[in-house]
Amino acid sequence: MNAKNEITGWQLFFIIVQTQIGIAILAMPTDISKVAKHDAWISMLLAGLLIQLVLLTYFFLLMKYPENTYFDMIEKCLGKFIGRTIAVLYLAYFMYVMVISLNGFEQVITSWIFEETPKWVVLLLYIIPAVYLARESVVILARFKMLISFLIPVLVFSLFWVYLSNPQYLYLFPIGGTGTDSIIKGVQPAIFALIGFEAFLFFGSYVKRDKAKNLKIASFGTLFVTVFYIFVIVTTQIFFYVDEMIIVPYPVLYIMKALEFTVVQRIDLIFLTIWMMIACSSFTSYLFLGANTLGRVFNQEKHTKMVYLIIIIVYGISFFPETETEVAEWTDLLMKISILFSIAIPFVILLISLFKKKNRKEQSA
Amino acid sequence: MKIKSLLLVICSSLLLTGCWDERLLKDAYLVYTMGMDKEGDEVAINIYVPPFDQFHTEGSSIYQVGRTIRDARYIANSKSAENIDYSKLQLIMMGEDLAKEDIYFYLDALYRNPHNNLSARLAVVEGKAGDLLHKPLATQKNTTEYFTGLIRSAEFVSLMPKMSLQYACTLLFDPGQDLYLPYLAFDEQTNRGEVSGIALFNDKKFTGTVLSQEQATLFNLINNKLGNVVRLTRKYKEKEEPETGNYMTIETTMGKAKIKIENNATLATTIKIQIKAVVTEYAPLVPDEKAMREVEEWWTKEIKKDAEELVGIMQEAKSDGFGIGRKVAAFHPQHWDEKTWKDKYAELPVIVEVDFKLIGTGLID
Amino acid sequence: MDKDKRINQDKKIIEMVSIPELFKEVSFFLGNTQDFIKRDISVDEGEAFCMYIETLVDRERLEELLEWFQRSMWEVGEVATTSDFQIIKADSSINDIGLRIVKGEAVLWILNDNGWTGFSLICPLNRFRAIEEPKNEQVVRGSHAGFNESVLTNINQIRSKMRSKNLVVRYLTIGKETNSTCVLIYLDNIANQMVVEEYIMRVQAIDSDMAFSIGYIEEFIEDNSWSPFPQFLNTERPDRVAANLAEGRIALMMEGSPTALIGPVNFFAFYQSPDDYNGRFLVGTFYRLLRILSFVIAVFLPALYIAVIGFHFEILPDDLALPARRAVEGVPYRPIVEALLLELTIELIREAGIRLPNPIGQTIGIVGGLVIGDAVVNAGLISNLMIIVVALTAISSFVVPSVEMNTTVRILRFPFMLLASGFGFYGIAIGLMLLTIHLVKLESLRSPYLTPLAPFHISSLKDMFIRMPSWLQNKRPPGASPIDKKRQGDSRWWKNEREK
Repeated sequence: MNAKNEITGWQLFFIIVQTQIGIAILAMPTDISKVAKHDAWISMLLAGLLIQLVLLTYFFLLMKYPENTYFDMIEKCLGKFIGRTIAVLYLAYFMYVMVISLNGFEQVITSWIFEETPKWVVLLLYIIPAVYLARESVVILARFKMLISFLIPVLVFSLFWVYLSNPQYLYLFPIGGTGTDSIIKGVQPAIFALIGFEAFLFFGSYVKRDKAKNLKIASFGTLFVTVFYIFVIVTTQIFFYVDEMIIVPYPVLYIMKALEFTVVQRIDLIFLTIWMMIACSSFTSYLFLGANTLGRVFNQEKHTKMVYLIIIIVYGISFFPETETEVAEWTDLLMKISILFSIAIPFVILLISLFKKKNRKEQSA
Repeated sequence: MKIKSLLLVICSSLLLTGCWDERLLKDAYLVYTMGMDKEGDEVAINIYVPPFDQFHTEGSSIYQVGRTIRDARYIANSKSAENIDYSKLQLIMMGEDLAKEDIYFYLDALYRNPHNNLSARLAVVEGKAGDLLHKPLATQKNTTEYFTGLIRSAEFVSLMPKMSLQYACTLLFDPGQDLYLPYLAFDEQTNRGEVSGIALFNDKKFTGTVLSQEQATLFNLINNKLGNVVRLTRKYKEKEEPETGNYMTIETTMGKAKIKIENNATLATTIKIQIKAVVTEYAPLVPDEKAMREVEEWWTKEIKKDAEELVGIMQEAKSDGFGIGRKVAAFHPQHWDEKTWKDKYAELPVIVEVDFKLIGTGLID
Repeated sequence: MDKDKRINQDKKIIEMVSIPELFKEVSFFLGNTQDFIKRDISVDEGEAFCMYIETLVDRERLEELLEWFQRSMWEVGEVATTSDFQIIKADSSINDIGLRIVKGEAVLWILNDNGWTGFSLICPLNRFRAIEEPKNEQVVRGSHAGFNESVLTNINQIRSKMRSKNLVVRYLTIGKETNSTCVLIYLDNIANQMVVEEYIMRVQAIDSDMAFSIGYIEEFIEDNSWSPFPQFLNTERPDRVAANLAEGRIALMMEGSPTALIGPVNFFAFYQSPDDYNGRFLVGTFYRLLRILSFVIAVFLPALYIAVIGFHFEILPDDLALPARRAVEGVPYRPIVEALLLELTIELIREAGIRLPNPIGQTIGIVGGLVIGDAVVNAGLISNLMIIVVALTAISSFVVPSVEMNTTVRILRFPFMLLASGFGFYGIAIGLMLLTIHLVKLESLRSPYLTPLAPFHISSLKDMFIRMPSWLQNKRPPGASPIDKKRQGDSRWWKNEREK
């Protein structure tokens, strides 16, 4: 049995996986293919490797301050006031991610099954389970995510059908033919698709026993997601010609829709149902993090009330972007600031902490 | 507790108001077959609905002319008591005139709609689709079941590979391979429809060239897309009595082809066909070593001749159904130019090599 | 009155001077109930009398005991406490005596020069059912014994199944008025002491004046009363209790209830039947999978049907779409109304069937099931597909080998039907998430309800969806966090030996 607020390495692994795989999985192949054409999978591979390096930063940070949460670390390095300010900024970031996530979800649902249902209803239903889960402790969150992860193999197996029906492997050739420029440009949307890896930093502090070993296990989470995404990209690319993929907004759903099964004709609707749970699980991670951060800012032990507060604000803000282009603009902004929050700030903190240590050594010497 | 009561309120309010996106099956007018024709500058659609009760053998049909497909559909809907629904569409028949234009304009409406069935089959009709649909057929089945069945059995006997709406669109987008569709015609003698061959497309337009049934089988063999049964019948001897005695039927147990393209500016192409077959019908055949060799040699020549003729026809029509262009683009990208490819293709030197093996003589020794 | 009683109950026996006075005081303590009886007895040593409540005492047995008592030469030191006799201390209060009498003991007092000497004669009147197979937990193979209303008989049945020195029985009394005896049974070397303490604490915390049945207690001690899921396993089968004790769980029984309340349990325990272990493992596995499937069908099938017919009929395969379309042609109601109508009819038939004697119950079943079903389709009110769906659902919900889980499953499908009617698959997905989160959150005696799945334990999957052969299940399932995790060693070493 887990003690309160303590998770194992494998649970962290699945939290990371479930935070990363969210809305992005449906649109990600299109977004990357728009830039990197048929070499999108190479961009994803590069992005995955890059993220592993970022995780290394996280790993050092967590090992350096094994007792502390990330915000504690910031306060230790930069002092109380700046620490608070940064925590508030992170809070805003989490809420922004939530808003984008809600809007992305709403777009999928509206374009795929519910054309008429108003946005407020779709989103209201969506946040109910998220709130119900985010109120709980991290242990329950971890258990739930582990349980939900059994759905990922289902997705993989249903995609395997493509390889049995009519795979066009030639669409992947010539490998690297798009040119280095495009591939590197494709890394940016690929990193965006992998957003959620910062869960490692925030949830990592809940791992208390055998920290090094457990964190190592968990760091394979992003690797797993990268491999899974590469599989998804390759699968969509041997199914669609690149030009076609660009006009198809959710290629994975299209694949599912085109596959013929005898028992169930439209496997995409079932896929969508499974995906909704995974997407909601990802959303819940941010809601949980947001509530905890807010609790920290207000010096509250319990985060339950914070969950309600945050969800009301996020639900309200999510109605601001109205048209698809506005949502796209908001999303583009997220692409930029996510790099700041998930890569730049932790890296700076690591540098400062190293510098501080040196300073102290010099002083003592 | 609060959440549960909230949920209860939402649920009960929904039960009372009914919902936005409800589409009741009992109100749906399920279209199984659709014909599209050009009517001057406008498009004419013929939609067929199978009968909903045991008392009718023939379903109902609606004919409608409109500016676009969606327009025609919209007007048709206003003429029907129920809601016309295309999600079960099985077969889309296109008139010759319409197919000679860019067919993607007509398919787009079907392709993009999330409710639509992407595994619906496509066919080009000799003359007008509407005419064929309205012909009185000598069959017990209703029109929709009949034509769908026709395509299915053509797939079974290797006349035509499976060509769904999804795959057709992929081919339409791919500049390296051209679309080909079953060609439906009406047989006046038997009062039945038939798949009389394969309609060849150049880019997104029907070329007007149709492969005969015999050529179609060979075409599928070279494309490595054979159905369950592959039979070839040719005239082996000249003056035997009765006339049937001159013909030999073989059934291939294994048939595949490889296309090799030399890596130079001429892009000399070799098509290697490999067939293993069983003689299923030729009474005078004596199964000794010498006779078998003779038969093998004869078939090798015959298939080579036919295949060369087939390639000639396709080059003349500038229809690249084998996807030679795709191979060039994938493996020899330096010689690939999307714009000039079709002219290059028409002049491509193609050599056919046949490896024919007789592995049995059927049940009779 | 209350005040008098309080004074009265604290009076000591020693303070009494005569037999009538003692009787009067005790009688007053018992509210002058008229079935409280005094009988004078002649003994050599002095005045003696016996008092008891006649409706609680076995007359014949009492006569035997008294006769033996009179006949034998006795001295205070000689008559040791036996199962039939207990010596009562002379300094007991009226309260102590009164409680003994209410429990069904006959109290014998002798007054002589030495003062009072008291004995309690234990001769309770037991009228219990014979041991028979519990009606709602029948098995094909295996023991057909079940509990009855006597807790002693029940413990006897368990003890005779496991003659272990580690089997511990703890008596607890609850109910301020009813003074019901509860019994907690567990295996000392396997059950986790913390869980035992938790269980005892919860039972003792009950501050109710009455406790008639174990189901009444259950509500007081479960972790989450608002949950639709039962958090204790109810069973009337001694073999099931024994098997659960051996896995480190704890059973609570109560005088007067033929049911044992087993905890901590997980969700899957409700889908296990003793039959699984008595048959071959392939058969056991198959039926266990079938039961899990029955859960899915019973909860989701009507909702899925409503969602498909009302929102996503494109999901039907081409060959099925037309027959389905033909079936719903002309049905006047929306699918949800159709489904609710039929589901409620089935629930009505079931509820009516329980209360009626067997032959009439069957008739109701036939009338309800066949006649209404056929008529309703012919009248065009409801499509025949809906009949199939609802009938299949009803059958599936009765597959569960546990009565409480059965009711849970039947209730659960209604919210899903409503969600499906509102939002199709989206609604079902939301409901499914809420259900999953709820199950993950739920705990039974502080141990997670969905145990082998969340938190995940790969080794105990062997006895969850499937039932591996018993000799492969060397570890106890972790759900009850047993102290001794190892269940058994290699029982089939001879197999390897022979192959060598």
